[in-house]
Amino acid sequence: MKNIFVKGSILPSFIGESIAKHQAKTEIGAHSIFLGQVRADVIENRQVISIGYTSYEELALKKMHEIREMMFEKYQLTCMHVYHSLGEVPVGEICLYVFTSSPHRRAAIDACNEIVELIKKELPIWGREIFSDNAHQWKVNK
Amino acid sequence: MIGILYVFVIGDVIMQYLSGQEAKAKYQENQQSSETKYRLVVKLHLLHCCKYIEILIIRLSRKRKGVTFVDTLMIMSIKVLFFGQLAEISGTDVLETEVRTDTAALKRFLETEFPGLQQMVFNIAVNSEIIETQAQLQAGDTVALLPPFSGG
Repeated sequence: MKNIFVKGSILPSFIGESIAKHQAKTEIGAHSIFLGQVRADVIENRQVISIGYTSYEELALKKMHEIREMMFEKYQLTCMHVYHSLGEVPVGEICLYVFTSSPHRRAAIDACNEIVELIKKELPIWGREIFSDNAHQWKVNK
Repeated sequence: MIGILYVFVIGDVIMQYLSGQEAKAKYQENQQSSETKYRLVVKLHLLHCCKYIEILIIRLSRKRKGVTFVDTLMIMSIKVLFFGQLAEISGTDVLETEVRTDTAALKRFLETEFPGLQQMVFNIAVNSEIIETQAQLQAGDTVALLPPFSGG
């Protein structure tokens, strides 16, 4: 099973490199990329400075595998890569990276959108919003 | 006769109590100032000693019944994993506890042990499978309590 977890934030250079790695796959005509960045929310006059992610890794990888199989069956994809941060990710840095590739753009775009929604709904991952005064609050996905 | 009663009932009950207390003390240790921290460290060491004495007593009693040493290691327990806010409420990420008939019985036990859980909404997974209503449990199972997800 593919490991989707990365310790800390996902670096822009990593994203750039993964695009470069697909140069040789000449059947690809389109990539669709989603990046989730930690936002500086202000909650009750307190500023979020980072989000700490934890996960039930065994179950998350199992579910991600199921999502992966489902997407390859539903869409004509060449590639699909998902990376999610674990641990603390400061505001402004990337915590989620979804990358899909296909011969024609429709499949890549639609699959990417659906994967992001499924990740947020189905994967056992939890985010703790950490404030500048070291207090924290558990994130709620909408 | 008393020996058997001790081994199978009281001995295991004492072990569960000590494990729970140890987990609580460990959590509290991280929360307190250095003065109370010292007292909690002493408490932790005392609990450790009690646990070892308890294990020794259980093993000695079981040995007298002709049960092998290997048998004494197979304690009838399940592992409970706490995630997200639930870990803060229980004070621990993982808890070893006596096996219960099913997840409903386990939930009742946990809600009594950690009353904060009563207000919380969570799903239950048994051996990495989220269950719909409830499931039977057996020794060696891993039960995970999953609050609403917030990844991404």
